[in-house]
Amino acid sequence: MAVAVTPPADRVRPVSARHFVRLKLRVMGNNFRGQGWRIALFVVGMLVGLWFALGGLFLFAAPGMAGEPRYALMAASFGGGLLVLGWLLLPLVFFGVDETLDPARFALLPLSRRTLVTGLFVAALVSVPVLALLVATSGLVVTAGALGGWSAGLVAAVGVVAGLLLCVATSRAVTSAFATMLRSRRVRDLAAVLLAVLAALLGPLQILVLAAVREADWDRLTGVARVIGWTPFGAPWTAGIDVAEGRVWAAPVKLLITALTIGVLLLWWSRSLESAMVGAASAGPARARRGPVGGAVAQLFPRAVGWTRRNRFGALVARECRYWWRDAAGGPT
Amino acid sequence: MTGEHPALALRGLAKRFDSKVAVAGVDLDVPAGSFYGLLGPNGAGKTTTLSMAVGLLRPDHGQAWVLGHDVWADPVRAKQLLGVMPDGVRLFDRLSGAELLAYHGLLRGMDPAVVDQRAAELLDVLALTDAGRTLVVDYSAGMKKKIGLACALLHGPRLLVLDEPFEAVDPVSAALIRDILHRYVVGGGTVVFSSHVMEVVERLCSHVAILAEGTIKRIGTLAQVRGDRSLEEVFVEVVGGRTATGEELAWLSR
Repeated sequence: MAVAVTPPADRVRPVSARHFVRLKLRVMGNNFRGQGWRIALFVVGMLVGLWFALGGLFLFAAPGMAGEPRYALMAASFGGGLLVLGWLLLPLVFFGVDETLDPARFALLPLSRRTLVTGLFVAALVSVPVLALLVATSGLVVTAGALGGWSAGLVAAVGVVAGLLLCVATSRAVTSAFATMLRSRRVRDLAAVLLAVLAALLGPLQILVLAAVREADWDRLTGVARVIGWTPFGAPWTAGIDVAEGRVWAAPVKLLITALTIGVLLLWWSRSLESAMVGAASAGPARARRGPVGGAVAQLFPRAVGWTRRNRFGALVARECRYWWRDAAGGPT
Repeated sequence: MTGEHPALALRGLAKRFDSKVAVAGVDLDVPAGSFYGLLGPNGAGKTTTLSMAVGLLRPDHGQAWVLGHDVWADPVRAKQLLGVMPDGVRLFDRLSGAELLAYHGLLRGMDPAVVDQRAAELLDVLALTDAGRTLVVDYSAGMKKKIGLACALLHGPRLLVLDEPFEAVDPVSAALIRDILHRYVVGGGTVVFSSHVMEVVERLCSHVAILAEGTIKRIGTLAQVRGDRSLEEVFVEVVGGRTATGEELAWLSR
């Protein structure tokens, strides 16, 4: 068999992003194999995604259909801004590190940072949430097209794609920067708690927003929307509306803002990628704690359950308490 | 061409985790064409040292070169020449064995035809063909070691770094791995591996380093380190562990 040592491999083929995409699809596909509940979960996820996508599509397209340019700007600015914010925060709270293409698994491969970032970025674009985002925000193209003709629609389409790239770059950069942190169980527990609190707040927030909308000062809101439109949060989404409203000069500037932001995010990502890759190698041996006092039995029983008898029942209770406490305290993960 | 540089050179590698010093300045020269055994008791810093040497863990101090290429300054070139089987399995384990090899080959920029041929041979020789479409995540511990070795060998590296290659491997597979490694070294490759199984090291290695408490205690050719004693005697003496019981455990014998 050929374990022959190859001569210096100068004829190395370039590794394209295609490989990463196919790797991701294959890993995703294998995840489903023989696991009915996973397929079911995926289908449910797809349906939820589709539901949100169609809802978003309607919200973004409505101002155009109704011919209300004022709401068009607000929908694009606030709605788009919320989307970017969501892609910034949700991976931290919810998804953790995307396990399908964990950068740590590329640590041993001779891939340049550029290849790795490009590949992982393109692979990250292939996902259900991105598809849902594309469907939802394409409503902006409808709005811009209806209000300003095909040229505005075209600019909006470019803006939507740029916004999409911005969202993915944001979430990847943030995830990678906090990857080491996100891998720890303690942070995941915290994230779950935060998510629960957020879910509990959803109702009150809805009431709050509805009340605010009813008493809102629409002119001031438009002003706020305009300002947001010039930040990376709103820039890609409002470019098409600007063309529709006759501020043709604003569109290229906003697209430039978006492109620069994407560039900075990718740069940040490629910086943090290395620590995400090698950070997982080993957290090192567990910290040696101060030597415990007393015999083995005394060590097992925490003071809180010190009243239990030293028998089978007591041992079970004590063990349960120890596990529970160590899990919560995050102990050696 | 390999004569100029050692296959692996480490200078002053050091790493501390929180307050515990895991590796406290390791210098090592692995001559090209040698079969190098890194010995040490549990927790001696073997894995940490090898992780820093192959680019998996950034050292606090010190440098590592693979055939003259700085692992941390020029990682791409170093990793092209290097095949690694790390301790924890860091593979895309949601793939079957063949898929995993294919992706490793393609991500290393290899010709697909070569990848096909080598993957088939490796799976065949390592008796992993029977696993078929089983995902690597569902492999047994020994099979994971073998697929890890296959990944490390696939691109025909010049230097092979293996962390505990014989742990959890059954005797037949172990003999097989020994044979593959032996052929690899005869064919001009260099192997560095960590272990705490003395017989394996004595049987295979041309050079040995004994690592304990994060520093190298003994280093040289097998003959130099061993002298006229057995390697186990030397190891126990160097590491200074306790090998016999005294008055305790009397209750074990009725």
